[in-house]
Amino acid sequence: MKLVDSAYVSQKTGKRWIPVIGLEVHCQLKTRTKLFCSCEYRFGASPNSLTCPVCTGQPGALPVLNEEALVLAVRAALALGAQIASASRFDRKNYFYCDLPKGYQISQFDRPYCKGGGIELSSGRRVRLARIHMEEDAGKAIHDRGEFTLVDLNRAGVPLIESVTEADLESAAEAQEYLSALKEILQYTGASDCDMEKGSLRCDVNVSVHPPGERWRTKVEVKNLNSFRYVGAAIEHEIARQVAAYESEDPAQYPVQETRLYDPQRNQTRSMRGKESAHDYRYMPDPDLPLVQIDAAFLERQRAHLPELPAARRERYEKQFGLTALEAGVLASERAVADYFEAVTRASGRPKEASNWIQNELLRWVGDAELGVTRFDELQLRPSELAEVIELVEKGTIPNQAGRKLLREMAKSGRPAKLLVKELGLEQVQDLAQIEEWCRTALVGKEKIIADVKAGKDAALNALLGPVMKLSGGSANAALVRETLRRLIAQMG
Amino acid sequence: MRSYAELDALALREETVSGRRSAAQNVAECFARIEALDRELGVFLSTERARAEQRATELDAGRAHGESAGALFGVPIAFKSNFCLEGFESNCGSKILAGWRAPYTATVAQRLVDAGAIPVGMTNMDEFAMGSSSENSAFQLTRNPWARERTPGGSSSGSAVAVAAGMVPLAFGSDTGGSVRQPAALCGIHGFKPSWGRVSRYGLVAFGSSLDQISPFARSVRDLELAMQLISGRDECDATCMDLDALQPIVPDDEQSLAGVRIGVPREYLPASLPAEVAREVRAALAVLQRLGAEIREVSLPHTEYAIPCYYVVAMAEASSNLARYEGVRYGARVEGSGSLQSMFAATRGAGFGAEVKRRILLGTYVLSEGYHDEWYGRALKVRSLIARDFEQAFEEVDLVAGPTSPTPAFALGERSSDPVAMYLADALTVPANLAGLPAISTPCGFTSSAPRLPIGLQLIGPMRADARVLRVARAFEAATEHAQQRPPLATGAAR
Amino acid sequence: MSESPSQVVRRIASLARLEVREDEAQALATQFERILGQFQVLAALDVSGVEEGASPIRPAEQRRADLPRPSLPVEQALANAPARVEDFYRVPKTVGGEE
Repeated sequence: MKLVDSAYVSQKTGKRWIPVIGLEVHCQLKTRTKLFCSCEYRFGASPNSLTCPVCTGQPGALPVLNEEALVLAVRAALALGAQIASASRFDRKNYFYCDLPKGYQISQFDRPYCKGGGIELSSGRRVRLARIHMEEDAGKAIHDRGEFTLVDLNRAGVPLIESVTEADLESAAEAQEYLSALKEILQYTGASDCDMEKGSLRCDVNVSVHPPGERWRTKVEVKNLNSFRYVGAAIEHEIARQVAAYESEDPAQYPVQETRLYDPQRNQTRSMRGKESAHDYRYMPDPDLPLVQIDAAFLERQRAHLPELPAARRERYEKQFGLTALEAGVLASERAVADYFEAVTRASGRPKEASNWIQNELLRWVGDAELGVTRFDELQLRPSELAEVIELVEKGTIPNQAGRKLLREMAKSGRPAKLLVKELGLEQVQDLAQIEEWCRTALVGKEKIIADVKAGKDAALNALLGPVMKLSGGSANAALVRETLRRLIAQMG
Repeated sequence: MRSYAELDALALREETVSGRRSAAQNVAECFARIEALDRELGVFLSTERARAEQRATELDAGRAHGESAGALFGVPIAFKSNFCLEGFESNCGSKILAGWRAPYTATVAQRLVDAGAIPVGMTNMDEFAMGSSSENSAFQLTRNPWARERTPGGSSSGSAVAVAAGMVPLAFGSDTGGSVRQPAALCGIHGFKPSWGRVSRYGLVAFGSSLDQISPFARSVRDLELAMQLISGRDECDATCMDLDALQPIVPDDEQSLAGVRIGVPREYLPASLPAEVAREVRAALAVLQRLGAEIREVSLPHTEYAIPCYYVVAMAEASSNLARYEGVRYGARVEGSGSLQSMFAATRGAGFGAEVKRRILLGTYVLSEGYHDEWYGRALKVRSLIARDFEQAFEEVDLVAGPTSPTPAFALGERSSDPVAMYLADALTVPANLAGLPAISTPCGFTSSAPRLPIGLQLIGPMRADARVLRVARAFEAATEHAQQRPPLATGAAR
Repeated sequence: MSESPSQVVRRIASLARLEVREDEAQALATQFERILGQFQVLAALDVSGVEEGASPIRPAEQRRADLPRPSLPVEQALANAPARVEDFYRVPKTVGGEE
């Protein structure tokens, strides 16, 4: 285990302070419908267009559990190494707010569906999960449009899992690493997209600091963190703020247990004024929902569905395919990419090349307006097709440059490689006579280079490659070009 | 030909299907009776005559074209105002929902309509089903047709009187602590609460979710049985509603005989404090059951005295949660308050809820609140288990439990309305069946001897899922007596 | 109760978002005491080892398939709204965050 010193050193006094951090993460489960009703959910739909009597809390409406939500929640929990309870319960969390239609949130209090589990960071430190539970999301209250607050209930009832870590994190960097790893795992299992921009991942942090060796001090909650970057910034700010407060040695300034909001404009946290003391949620079992029973057969089915997880894949890519840690990391970061890479490798037998082409080309196409691709799995290029192109390039049938062009054309048009190669005239020229002609042209007036090569500086040839390629429109076989250049130079007096 | 008010639902349906009557005629006679009697009795909060007439026309036309007739073809029915029917006003007897029309229809209501029944309106009730006399309705009183200055019971007051006064042969209410059985007893009709979980609650406005059940009122047990057949069974919109298979009736095929049936009478249900008339009529009823072949035994349900506090703690706790949604954001009344969101909530709820509802919400919030939760709510849930266990143990010895439905006959309006606790005690004998989730009926078994002549009800309680057994025994009792055929003195001008 | 009944009523009324007038508060406090006093008998029972019976029976679990059904059209959803702005429910301006 790598020893990492996450202590915060005060600039003012030079003293060391140990940060203690815990994260509470809400992830939207990737179901089609909501947790307790059959409304579809789509981010960005027009306001109040995705509601029904159940999710708007009409008198007389009742909740019925979405089976798929349970399936995804269990898969996520298994992937995180948690133990699944054979019977768990939904409870009502009672409070009043304009985005909470029933005046209570259906959640899980003292019998959540799983316990334990955790994630290991690169340093070797294990971040333990205290619990994960299922709950429904609230709607959205919009405060910045005019003199009223506006309420949109589209999101009310969307299924969430809330995962709460133990206070095992010690720095902003660790928190960010944890979140990335969590996101990776949840995306891999298909449980959630974990897209902070679309709100399918939300994170609150709990931060406290204490001098080394002393007991833990008051923890403060920080909310309203809309990106991984803000999570890190808020934690760093909060650590500094708390240390400064303690170092002021004025007890009136010491941190109090409260909830603060992060303000990204000013990069600071501020107190939520006028907040009452701790909420009394009056938890009670929800009488409208039976106990959630999970039997061994159900668990086995979900286990069987779990894909090989990112950490294991990274290791395998390095060991089995000889990729570097960096390459393996990029490929394994998204399941769609990893699966694709493995398929291309199976089809072509060339893992290194597959890795290169995916990283240098395909991944860059995500976000490309012309191709209209916003996610990797939207790419219209089958693994077998990429494998085919790799083969063509490795055999020398087409040059590398042409390969890039070909791929793009295939993705755009959906037409097969063989046809496009002909149509676009991409075949690499291997005609020795033609190559010789281009080389001779390029050699004109290059006495210095010729002299260098003759003197044994083979590398000087590189300066000629460009011009020859240009003359050939990129279609000359590079190896043959070199060979021809050497031959011609040798022949020159 | 018998008059509209004399026919039970099954007979009315037969006459309509055979062509001797039309659905339109039934609706017309129903409304004639409502017009004659409702001003005095205060049954309906709203009626939907045009809708009912249109539905009747459709049904008659369909029949003329050879369409098959459903089990309740052409039968006018009424619903307590806490049932959601699209387009009907379901205000739950409360100002906070005054004018509210549901955007959807309760599963049970849909099943009844699909069977050819014709909803004619929404009946009066104690606000949000909290009460035993109709005096907690925000809108009006309902009067007992047997004696106008007396309560018909509650909270399903209007639905009980709708049937007792012959306005409709079949009406529906909800029974959370006795809200159908007690008014049935006080009005001299049958009222049946199914096993919890047998009938879908989707579209029934919730009061105490683990206690509520939709329950029918009728003038014949066979009507109750028909209604139960139509409304029972799995609903994909209610996760607690199941296909509960009926336990074997343990009643011989001979309808009149109860040979082999063991009926337990809890000593706690006939205490010395019970009014003499009630005890007398119930004992007479037991004698009838005995004559029919049943064996009557004394049993004990030792935790009976804890049933009222246990029930109210649980019911109030659930109610405080179920009624949190009435805050003026998405539907119902709104009072802006002093300008903040939370003050809007408080002002809306303060103005919109009546005194009893407020009392129960506050008490319910209290028993769930931090520091009191385990001592009150947690403890009540345990006592609930004890009460259920009492019944389980009794049912090892007997097949049914019997006793009076209500400790008293109909009391006077105004007599208990200023004393909540006195009002709560009206439920002492009915709440145990809700706590244990058991099927229970109130069936007419006699009258007081002194004027005014007031009905007295016999309660039969069966083990979980034994709904058919309870109904079967009630039917045998009904056939052997004439109490259920008695009618209140009503001056309608129309044929009786 | 270490708080006076009136204090309890005021605190609980706030928690339950129920505006209670001064005169109402007095009456409620008296009733609170009386009713809870009557219900105190529950404390006398020995409930050690007894399981909580939150529901009269244990319903067999019923779940729903993840198949969409049509939502309410916006107009119908908002038809009963006491106040609206375009397709939103309208409420008094709030700072943000629950409670």
